[in-house]
Amino acid sequence: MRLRTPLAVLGCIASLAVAVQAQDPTPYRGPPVLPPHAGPPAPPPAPLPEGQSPAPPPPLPEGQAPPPPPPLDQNVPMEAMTISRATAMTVGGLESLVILGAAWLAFFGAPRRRDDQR
Amino acid sequence: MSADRPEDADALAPSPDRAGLRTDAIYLVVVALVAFRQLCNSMGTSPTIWEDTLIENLYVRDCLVDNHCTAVGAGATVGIFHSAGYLHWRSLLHAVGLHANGTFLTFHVLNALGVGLVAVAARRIAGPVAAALAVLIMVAGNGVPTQLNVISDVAPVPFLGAVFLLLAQTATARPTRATTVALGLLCGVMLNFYATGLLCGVSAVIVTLRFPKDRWKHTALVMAAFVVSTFVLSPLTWLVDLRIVLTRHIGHSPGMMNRLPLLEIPLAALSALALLLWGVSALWPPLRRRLDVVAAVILPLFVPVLAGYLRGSLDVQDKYFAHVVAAIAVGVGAGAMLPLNAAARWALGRLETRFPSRKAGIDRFSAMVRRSQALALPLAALLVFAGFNEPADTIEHLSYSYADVLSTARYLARARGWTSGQAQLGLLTPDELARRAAIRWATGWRASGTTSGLEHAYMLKMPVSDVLMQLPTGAEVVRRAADGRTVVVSTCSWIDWTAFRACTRRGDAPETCMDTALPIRNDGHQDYSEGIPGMPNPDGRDLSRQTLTLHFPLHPRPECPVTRVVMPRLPLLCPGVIASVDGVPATIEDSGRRVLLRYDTRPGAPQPRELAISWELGVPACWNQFRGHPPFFIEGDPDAVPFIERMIDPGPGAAEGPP
Repeated sequence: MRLRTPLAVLGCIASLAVAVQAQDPTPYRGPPVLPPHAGPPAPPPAPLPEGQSPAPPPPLPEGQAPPPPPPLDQNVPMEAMTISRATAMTVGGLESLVILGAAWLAFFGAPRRRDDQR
Repeated sequence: MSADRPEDADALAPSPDRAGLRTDAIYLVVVALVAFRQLCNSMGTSPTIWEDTLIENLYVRDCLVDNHCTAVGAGATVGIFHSAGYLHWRSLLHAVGLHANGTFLTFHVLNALGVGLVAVAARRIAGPVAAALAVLIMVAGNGVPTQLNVISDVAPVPFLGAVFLLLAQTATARPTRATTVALGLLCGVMLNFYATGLLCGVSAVIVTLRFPKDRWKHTALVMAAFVVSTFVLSPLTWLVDLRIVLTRHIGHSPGMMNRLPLLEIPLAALSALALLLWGVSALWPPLRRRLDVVAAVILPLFVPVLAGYLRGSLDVQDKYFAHVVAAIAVGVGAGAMLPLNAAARWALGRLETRFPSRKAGIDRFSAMVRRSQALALPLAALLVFAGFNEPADTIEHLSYSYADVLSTARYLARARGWTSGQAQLGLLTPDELARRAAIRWATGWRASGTTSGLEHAYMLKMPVSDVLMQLPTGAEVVRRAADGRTVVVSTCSWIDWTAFRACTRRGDAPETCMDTALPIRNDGHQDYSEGIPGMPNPDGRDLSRQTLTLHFPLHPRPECPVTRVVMPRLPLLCPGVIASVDGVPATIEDSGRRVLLRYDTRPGAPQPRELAISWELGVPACWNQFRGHPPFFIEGDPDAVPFIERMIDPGPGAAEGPP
């Protein structure tokens, strides 16, 4: 019982937030407010090696570039694989609920049922 | 001893009762508070500028502004896609008003709670001294190595790992369907935050297989919850990754390896220590079982990391241990205290048997020891509060934060009417990422205004040791913080970034040149995809060895009669040389690193016409450091230039640098 009540409250809040997000036509108010893309964006490169001090590259012959990486998928570019903002917000909300619920259970344990008391 | 008996379940990890929960709550609150203060002190209250954050920002912007949220996530260095769930979660934080600093402080709050959960987990296994040790280890292990100084997909992982560890303990102590399902769901979320979450799924299976009863039922349940939640949260990520895994090699390429010895990586060494303590405790099975959950969390990571390291296909880094740092802390803390506690109990029992007449005294001594253990956590909290592990004044302290670029943007907008477009033309700083962050991330630029290629400002960090230094004309401190000052230096210039010529030469091939300009763009994606016309590719992946020479037409004028050019030498900066000056004879000094040019006021006198600067690209000193933008150099008023040089290169030896 003690678990069900807070989870229900959290669920209601999350549903409300998702519903508001889905209905709200106002564009996002944070920085930076930029005009829409002129065309489909290219995917950003993979992050550099971590640690602020990248390893030196293997020596290349003058004027010769290393072979480019093979294309991932000729038919379905990554940037075309998108979902809507409402769906993303719903996923983010669900993740928050799972984390909160797991933390609650971790700390308090699952509620004891009558058959646990025997 | 059979593990099916109820008392064995308690031996694995005690279940919290009402009194225990009260103590746990005190531990959680006290430790979280001091850990939060420690994180704010050591990591700051504003995120350090970081490449991955800027890439994430593009995804968040696409999601919130354009309604195009990535369904596959960001690329990882090992060649797969991940973090889509994390990006959705970050977008949600942004949408509810937690922007850069808000998101960063949210991570601090969560990770501080994570330290509190570690204290609870260790106390439940081995008492208050183990809790204190675990807190100290968790605090020492967390930080820059687990990217708590930046906004990244790794940053929330230590907290998630702490939740997972405590949940696994709780589930082991008293298995229920709710805790088992929660374990699986949490692992699904962790996997969609960061790819190492996959190993959490393996840990969850091992944990349920150690349940005292109904182990197969719980194992099936946790696997189902894990698989379903992983897939449901971001199906396309896993379909794409499955295709990648089946069709190409996964791992780091040899060129990306730093190859430190494994045990020189702090969290790898601590993992090995925790596993060693678990192994040692195996000599006494009841103790080993108490550490089984900890081992179940660490082993699924440590084994593949070790294998990847030995095969040479994995560049092992501390961040890969982010989800096990809680288990490491508890493993070392509890692993050290469990044998000690057991040995002390054994010794006291022997004493009581041998000297029955002194039983009362022995009992008093034993009680006193137990009471004194309660002091362990306050002592640990005091050490954390005092900042026992805060870093010395290193280069990390002088890196740019979001607050720095925000202060710079607000100052230049207010004092000089700068727009984001003007910043793209005239904002100069030795840290290319900070320049991009100021343009793309900082708010506060004017919405409209004029632009000029001749109007320049340098954004610099002044170390604490230099705060008493006199500022030259045109310099302004725009932010004061404990780690230093952020200074903006406005200076007149002869270089117009809206018109210059870029020439490249590869080997013996003829030089190719193109008239070009710094572009003004509203779309941050183009920083990565398009670069600057005539300049080599911005992402460096096809950066072959070549000479880049930029020819700048000079604009000497009476109001700006002298200009000085200096080519600095810094570790992460491509070293350039002044190749030539056209129009007048000029003395280029210091092996091409310095030149002083003057406007001749005599009517019809020849004037400096063009300055050429060259860089060798594709060599070890200029490879990843080159980001498609003209590498940084200093040019401007003779009073301002030495000040700028001193700010960016305060070390006496560093000024010499490599030739």
